[in-house]
Amino acid sequence: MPYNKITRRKFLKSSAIASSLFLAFAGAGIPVLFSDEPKEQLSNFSANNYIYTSCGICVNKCGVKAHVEGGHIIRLEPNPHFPKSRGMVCARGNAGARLPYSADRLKFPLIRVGERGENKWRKASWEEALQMVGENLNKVVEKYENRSAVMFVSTEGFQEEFFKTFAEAFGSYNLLRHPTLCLSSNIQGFSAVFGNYPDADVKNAKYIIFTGSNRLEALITPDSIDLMKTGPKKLVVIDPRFTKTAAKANEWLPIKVGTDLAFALAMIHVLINENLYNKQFVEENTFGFEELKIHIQKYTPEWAEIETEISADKIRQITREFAENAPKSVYYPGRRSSFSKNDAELRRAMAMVNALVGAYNVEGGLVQTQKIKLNKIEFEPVWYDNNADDRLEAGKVKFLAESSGAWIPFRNAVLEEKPYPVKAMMVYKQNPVESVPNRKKTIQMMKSMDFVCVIDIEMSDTAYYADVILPESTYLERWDPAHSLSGIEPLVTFRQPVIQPLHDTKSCFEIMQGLTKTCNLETNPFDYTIQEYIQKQVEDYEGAYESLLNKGVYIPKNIPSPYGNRGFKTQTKKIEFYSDKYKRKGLNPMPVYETVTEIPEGKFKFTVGRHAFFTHSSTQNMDYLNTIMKENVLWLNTEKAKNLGIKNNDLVKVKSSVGEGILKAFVTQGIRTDTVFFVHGFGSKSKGLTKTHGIGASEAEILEDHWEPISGNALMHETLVEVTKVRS
Amino acid sequence: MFTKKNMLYISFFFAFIGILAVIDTLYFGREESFNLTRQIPWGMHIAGYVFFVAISTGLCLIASIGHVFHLKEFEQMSKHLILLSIITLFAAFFVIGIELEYPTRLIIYAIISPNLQSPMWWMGTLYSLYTVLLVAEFYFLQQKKFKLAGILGLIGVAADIIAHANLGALFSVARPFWSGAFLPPYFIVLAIQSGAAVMVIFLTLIQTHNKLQLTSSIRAGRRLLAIAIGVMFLFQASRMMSSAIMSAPDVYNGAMTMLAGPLKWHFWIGEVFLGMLLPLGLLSKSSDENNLAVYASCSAIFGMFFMRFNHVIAGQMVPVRDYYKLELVDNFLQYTPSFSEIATIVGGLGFTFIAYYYAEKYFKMEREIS
Amino acid sequence: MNGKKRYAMVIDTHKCFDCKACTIACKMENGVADSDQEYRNWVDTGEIIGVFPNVSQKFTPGQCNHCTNAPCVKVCPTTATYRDENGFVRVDYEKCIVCKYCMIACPYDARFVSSTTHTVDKCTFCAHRVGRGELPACVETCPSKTRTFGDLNDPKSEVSKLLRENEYKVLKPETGAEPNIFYI
Ligand SMILES: Nc1nc2c(c(=O)[nH]1)N[C@H]1C(S)=C(S)[C@@H](COP(=O)(O)OP(=O)(O)OC[C@H]3O[C@@H](n4cnc5c(=O)[nH]c(N)nc54)[C@H](O)[C@@H]3O)O[C@H]1N2
Ligand SMILES: Nc1nc2c(c(=O)[nH]1)N[C@H]1C(S)=C(S)[C@@H](COP(=O)(O)OP(=O)(O)OC[C@H]3O[C@@H](n4cnc5c(=O)[nH]c(N)nc54)[C@H](O)[C@@H]3O)O[C@H]1N2
Ligand code: SF4
Ligand code: SF4
Ligand code: SF4
Ligand code: SF4
Ligand code: SF4
Ligand SMILES: [Mo]
Repeated sequence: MPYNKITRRKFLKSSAIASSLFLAFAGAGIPVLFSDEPKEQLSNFSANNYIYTSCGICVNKCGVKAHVEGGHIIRLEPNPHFPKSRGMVCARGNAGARLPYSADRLKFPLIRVGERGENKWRKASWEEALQMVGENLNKVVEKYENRSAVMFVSTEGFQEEFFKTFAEAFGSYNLLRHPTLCLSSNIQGFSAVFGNYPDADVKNAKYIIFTGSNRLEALITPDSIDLMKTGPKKLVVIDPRFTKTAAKANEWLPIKVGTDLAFALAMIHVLINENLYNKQFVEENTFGFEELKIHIQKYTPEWAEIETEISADKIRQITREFAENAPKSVYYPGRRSSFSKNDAELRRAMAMVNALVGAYNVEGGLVQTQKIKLNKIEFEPVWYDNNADDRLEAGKVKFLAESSGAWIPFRNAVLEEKPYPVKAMMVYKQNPVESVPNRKKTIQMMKSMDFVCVIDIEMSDTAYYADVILPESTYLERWDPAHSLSGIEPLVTFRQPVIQPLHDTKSCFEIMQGLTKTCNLETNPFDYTIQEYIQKQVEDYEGAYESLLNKGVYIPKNIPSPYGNRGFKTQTKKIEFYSDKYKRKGLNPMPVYETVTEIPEGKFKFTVGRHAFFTHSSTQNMDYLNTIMKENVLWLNTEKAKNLGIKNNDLVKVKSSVGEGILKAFVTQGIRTDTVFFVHGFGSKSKGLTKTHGIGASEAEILEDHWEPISGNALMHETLVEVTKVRS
Repeated sequence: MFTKKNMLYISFFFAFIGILAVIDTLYFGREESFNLTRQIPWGMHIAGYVFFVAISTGLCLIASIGHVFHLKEFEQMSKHLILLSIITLFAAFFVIGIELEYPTRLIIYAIISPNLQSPMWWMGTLYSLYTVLLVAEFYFLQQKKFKLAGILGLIGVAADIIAHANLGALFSVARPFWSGAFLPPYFIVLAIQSGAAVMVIFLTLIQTHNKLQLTSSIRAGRRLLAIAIGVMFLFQASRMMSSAIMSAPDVYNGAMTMLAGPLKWHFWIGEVFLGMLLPLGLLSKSSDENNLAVYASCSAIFGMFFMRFNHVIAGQMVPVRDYYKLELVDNFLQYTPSFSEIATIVGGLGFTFIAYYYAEKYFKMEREIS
Repeated sequence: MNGKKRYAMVIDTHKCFDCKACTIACKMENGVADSDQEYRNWVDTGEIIGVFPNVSQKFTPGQCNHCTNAPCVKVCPTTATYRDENGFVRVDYEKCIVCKYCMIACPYDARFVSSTTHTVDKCTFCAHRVGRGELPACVETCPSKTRTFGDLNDPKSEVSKLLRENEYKVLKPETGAEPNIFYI
């Protein structure tokens, strides 16, 4: 067993003792008992030994080729055939090579024996565990006479497809996914204007404004890489915090939290009033310009200066530069937009800024993404009568994504048991206890369930409160279906196992197959092997399956150019400055600014954000990554810290209306005086996460559960906190 | 208090602690049982090694001064001094043997693939030579072949001075803080200081326990110690002043770790007070009738250990990567020796006493004045 | 020069954004332990300097410089550390006695005691990969291609070109170690 720390260490110790004994008695001529020879002598490794697959640590799914020797993963190297990741693997992707070997993995099914959250478990066989899940789900359906009394919770991932299929076959409306914690207002805002959510052509752009997009830490391929490799001529970063993206920017504008809409509206004001917009483009492609022109008059740069604390002159300068570089200029859409109450409107305004300068579907501007279509093995969903009429939170959100739901209103409805009780929870690859604001409420919701089953690879904080935990094989130990990654350069990828499962784990696909039997479904949507499924997915493309196996990627030859107008899927078939659809829903047809709540003296706005070493709440406990950052720290402005008598590394308490956390202070000039921040994913509840349990603070614990009603997105920058010193 | 029995008990206790250190080191491995880091790879052991080697060198020099210049006060004790010199040298080897992961490889590869550029190689070679010479000298002294012994002594002194100066050079090629022409002579003076202090202690012990009349030798030892401390004082003062006033950042910062940084107690209390001021004060009040010189020597030996320690550690406390330098006071590296590291040195002391006690018996030197 | 190589690396710090992919890739590729004391390369996160909002920050990758006139080679008593004919400064794990003299002598903090080899270890310029015709792990994985690796004896190589076309510096030139990592 290579890399077995204990045996290896013992071996080394005995060798040390032996060598000293030799020294004592023999005096000389001691044989060398241990040495790691230089690698090239050890290995007869050749390029043929690579196994191609894709990284599973974050949403980007970069192409990797696994260097495997003797059944052991040495390294995951970048896949040069994979254009989207531009031949790189990030720190997390690299550390992924050791994920299967983590001591903290879930190694077999677990059944709770103590109270929920008491961390008392017994080992179970798959048979027993699957049986238990089936029986409990059946029981809940019977008891509440409602198949939607079982909620299904998941986040994107290749295998999620099977989980969603299972939920559909099960007959519950209540599939609750991650978008309303992430980007739903972004999608909503951009789609309202363009009819789709475009990508930015970072590679070819000359001028980029990032507003709340920390692209050099929140890695999005290929944008993050293009940004540094080819790079725009000028990069402006608008962020209350001096991020690493800001460190690389030409200008950093520390905006007041939640006021970006004022900035965007002022840009529109300048573009229109200074005649900087692209008249021809606007005339040909847009709807409602005249209305917008009138509407925008009150949003002067001088007005925006008061809101944003960025000077009117600066706003004018940025806008003029933006127009000068158009259409190769991008007001970057960003990804996570669970920010502040104006968010959905902000995203609309941002889309409009891009549209006004004609930076749409042109090289260096925003570009409509393309996607390679894949087949599915269809199944006939059964209509069950014992079901509710609709999703639990139906009607609470103006533009509710039926297939994803809206997390916070959903959770509120579960707790109120209205309009109907939801009493069982199936979780796949999501960690809502940490990723949904207000951790106490999520735990309360879980405790209100009759039954909770979590499918994960480690004892996440969510698994910690489960009744049955089903361990999935890691992404390196399983087949995953083909997946079409949309973008300016679309492609298809998949996963194949690079090693055999190390423990008694299964893939989600196998688990769903098992549950199909124990849940007494009237249909079997998984009547095939996963390889058959993948072959079916790509059967329309010749050589695609082989290309996946041998190169980890498939790209059809005849993909059309991404540039050029391809029409707009809006109601008016134009870019909509004025939205009738919004009006009919009782919303503003054009974005209207609502003043943000003042930050009272002695309080701070709490903000969240990514870190390049971690994926959300799931890699902080990983070997190697944890070594780079072992705890999170509170970013606090130097001036404010001085007033509070807080020095670097002092222990401080951060307290909101819903919770508190204790962590070390990082006193810095790199954040606004009225804002604080710390990295996500520490301060875990779960004792199974040995490196983060009780270390640092949890965001979900202190975040208040605000949300906005247009897209249903959570709002993570609306929480006010107090900071006090605990000790030096 | 300083009865033979008590001294032996204490020595055995020290040696026992040393054995614990050995077990700890071998069982847990060096990475775990030593508090050494990537940036401070040399710690207490290196300080202890240099400390013991310096005592050995000092004793050998003093013994040989006696021979060469026919100074009766030293000459009459030279056999004792040489024996003690051999024992402290082995104590030094013990300490370094614990420190090195593969001491035997040193022997093998120093022979089959030597690096003549390396002061470390020269150190090994010169000290091996020096060991042979010392043992031979002792042998001939024992055989009463004084002439031969005298010649060997002379070669020994030469080897010794070269070896010890090389030890100074070993440091000076490696780090800016350690560099400078002063290091080799600094090492020699320090050696004489150490030798003199140890001599005063041992001769006093020999005088009381073996009922010998060694007043004149002890008196000479006292004087030598006082002179050596005086010279050392001037050395240190000028070195610190020049480092603090007009030198490269590495050297300046190194000096600052001692003058005002994390080593300030080690420096002001250990090195300056215990190592210099207190011994000088005591020595000025000492006479043939009181034991103050022994206390002065003990204090000086303590102080000299701090001197070694500070020297080795201060050279490493300044991080070598530039970018740390912004706020150096916060960023001086830290080092606190572990139990096992301290215990090794304690063990070395215990070993020295025990070995001397039995060797003296074995060679029937108790009543002897050569 | 007849066919001999002089391998070198050029690091463009302007491109580095402190993602630390290089550090982890190196640890994987070379079996370096999961410890904050053990690493063959590193990226120093400079402090955020200046006064809000006029601040700046620098990121500086570093590793063994494979010095032409390497202090570590000079001091190693057993020649465990040596410079091979292609300019790789290597450690022969068989000969290393862990005296740590080389760690003291290296002006760049490039060396450490490895808990996997139980000897001193450091960057090898991924000689084993270079021998197979591949790039060093850190170079290959770097998202922004901050790092460029190649043969300075080949005027057509990327590194030669970069050094011709840019101003560059080496770290601590005053040590006389003659590093072969160049910063532009
Ligand atoms: N406080 C706070 N909350 C946030 C955010 C924030 O920045 N701060 N960001 C929001 C955003 S943008 C998003 S997208 C969401 C993401 O939130 P989540 O979707 O909850 O993502 P993670 O926190 O990464 O949790 C993923 C879980 O999946 C598990 N997992 C990983 N790989 C596998 C696998 O192969 N199989 C299985 N079965 N499980 C696996 C991990 O162990 C972990 O428990 O969080 C949102 N919530
Ligand atoms: N390394 C890494 N990369 C990732 C992920 C990961 O977990 N780890 N997750 C992926 C996912 S799912 C997502 S959604 C994306 C998210 O990536 P991004 O969309 O870039 O989002 P964040 O990093 O969460 O936050 C962006 C920035 O918004 C700033 N901010 C806070 N409030 C305001 C405000 O009012 N105005 C402005 N202008 N800025 C503000 C924060 O300081 C933060 O730096 O990253 C993706 N990439
Ligand atoms: S960005 Fe990093 S973690 Fe995400 S898929 Fe790519 S390599 Fe993996
Ligand atoms: S950087 Fe240090 S380890 Fe590398 S060759 Fe130079 S002196 Fe030796
Ligand atoms: S530690 Fe090893 S490589 Fe370094 S100088 Fe000593 S023997 Fe040479
Ligand atoms: S060249 Fe290889 S050994 Fe050196 S730092 Fe890069 S990855 Fe590590
Ligand atoms: S991988 Fe490249 S960009 Fe990332 S830290 Fe290393 S050198 Fe910098
Ligand atoms: Mo996200």
